[in-house]
Amino acid sequence: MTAPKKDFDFARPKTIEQLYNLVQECQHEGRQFIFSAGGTDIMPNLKSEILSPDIVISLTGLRALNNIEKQGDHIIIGALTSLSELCSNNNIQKYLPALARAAHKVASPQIRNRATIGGNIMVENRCSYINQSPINRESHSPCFKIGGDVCHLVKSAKRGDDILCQARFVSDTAPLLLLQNSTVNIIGPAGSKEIKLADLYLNDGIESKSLMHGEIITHIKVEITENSLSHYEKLTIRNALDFPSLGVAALRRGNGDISVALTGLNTRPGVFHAKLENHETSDDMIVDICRKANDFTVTYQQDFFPRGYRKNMISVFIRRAINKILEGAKS
Amino acid sequence: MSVKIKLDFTLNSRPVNIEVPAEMTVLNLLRDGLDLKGTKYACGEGECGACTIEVDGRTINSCLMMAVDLQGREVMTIEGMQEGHALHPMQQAFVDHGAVQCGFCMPGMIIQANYLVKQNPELTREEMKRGLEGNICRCTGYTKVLDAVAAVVGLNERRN
Repeated sequence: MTAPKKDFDFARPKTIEQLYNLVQECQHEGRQFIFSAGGTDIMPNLKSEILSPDIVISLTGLRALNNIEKQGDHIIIGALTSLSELCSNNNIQKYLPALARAAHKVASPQIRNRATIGGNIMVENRCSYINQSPINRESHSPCFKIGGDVCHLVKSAKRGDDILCQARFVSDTAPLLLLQNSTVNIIGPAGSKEIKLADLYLNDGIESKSLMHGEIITHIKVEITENSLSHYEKLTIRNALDFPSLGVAALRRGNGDISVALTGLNTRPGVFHAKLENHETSDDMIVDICRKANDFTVTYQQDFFPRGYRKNMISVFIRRAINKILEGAKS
Repeated sequence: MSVKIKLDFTLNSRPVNIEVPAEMTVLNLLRDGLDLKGTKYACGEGECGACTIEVDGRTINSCLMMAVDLQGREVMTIEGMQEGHALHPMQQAFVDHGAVQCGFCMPGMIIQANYLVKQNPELTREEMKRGLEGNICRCTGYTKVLDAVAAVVGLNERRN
C-alpha cells in the first residue's frame, strides 16, 4: 500500500495551547481525530484502514517534549524522545541501561530514529487477525476490535464479556519502566494529571489504555533504584523488526527482592515480585515468579511460534533474565 | 477531495515549495511529486528499508512519514549523495565490491550505510550488521554489502 486510501486533514500544532484549541474545534465539529508522534505504528494502520480519522494531529511540533533530564533520584523522559535518542543518552545508559537495551531491541534503526518512547508505551495492542492487509482481512468478518461481532481467536466471546478482545500488549520499553515505578504526566482538555504507569494499562485489547480520547502523555518519570540491577530479554523469530513474542524485564533491588515484568503474553503487561528470604536468591523465588507468570499468561495462536513453545519459553526467559542480573550481582 | 497543504523544506540542499495532499507520504512525494525515482517503494510498512532517506541528519523510512511532516526539515535522498559527476565514496565502494545484484535495495542500503559511518567512523563488522538490520536484500547479497562498508571505514575485508 503506497498511501492511506481515505483522505484526511493534517495539522502540526507548535504549542500545547494550539493543540487543545484544535482538539476543541474537532470535538465541536464532530471530526474524528487521532494523534501521531513518530507515526511508525499509525501509518501502517492508516494504510490498512484499521484507522480512518478525519484529521491526523501530529505532535512532532511540540519540541518541548523532546528531552531527557535527571532530577534528583528520578529521570524525566519527554514523551517525544525518539528511541534512538533514548538508547544513546548518557543518563539512560548510566542509570537505566536495561531500558536502553529494550529500546534498542525495537524494530530497526530507521524506525527507532522516528518512533518515540511515548508511542512505544502507547503502542496499539496487536493480533494476527487484525494487523493484516485489507485483502487478508476481507477473508473473515470484522472482529470486535473494528466494531464487528466476533473474535476469531476466541470464538465463544460475546458482547458483555469482561475481556472482549485478546489483542496482545507488545511494548518493549513498558516492562522495565513498570519495574522502575514510573509515573506518566498526562495533559488533556480537562487539565493535567500524573498517574502510575501501571494504571495506564487496562485489561481489554480494544480499550487497552486508560488515556481518554484527546489526552496525551507529556513526560515519563522514572525512579532510579539505588544499587539495583536490571535486564531485558525478548523472544522473536528475527533479531530485528519483530514485536516481542514475549518479553521479560527483571529487576533486583538493593535489598535482594526480585521483580519481573512481562510483555506480549496478555492484553496488558504483568508485574510479579518475590521477596528475598535468608539472604540468598533461592530457586523457590524464581519458581514462584514463573508460576505467577504462567497463570497470568493467555497464549492463543497469535504468533509465528506455536502456543505450546511460547508457553514453555516463559519460564526459560524469566530464568535467563534473572540469571543475567545475578551474574551481574556477583561481578 | 483531499485537503492540500503548503510545504517548504530543503531537498538535497535545494529549497522546495510545493502543495501536497495531507495524506501523501514522503515516499510518494519524492517519487511521484518530485520525480526522484531513486528512493524505492517495496513493503510500505517500514520492514524493508528500500525507502530509507535522511531527514535532519537521521535515517527514516520515507513510506512511514507524512509528506506534510517535512515542513522546515532537511532531506537527503540517494540523488543528493553524488558530488558532481563523481560517485560518493560509499556508492563507489558498493560498485567496487560487487555489492549490487538487482539493485532495488541499494539506495536505502547506501543511505543507511553512509549514516552509520557518519555516526561512528570506527564501525565494527558486528555494528554494521545491527545497523543494516532494517534493510532487506532479497538477492542475498549481505556479505559483499558488509565488505563495501568495511572498505569505507578502513577495515580489512573479513568474510564472515
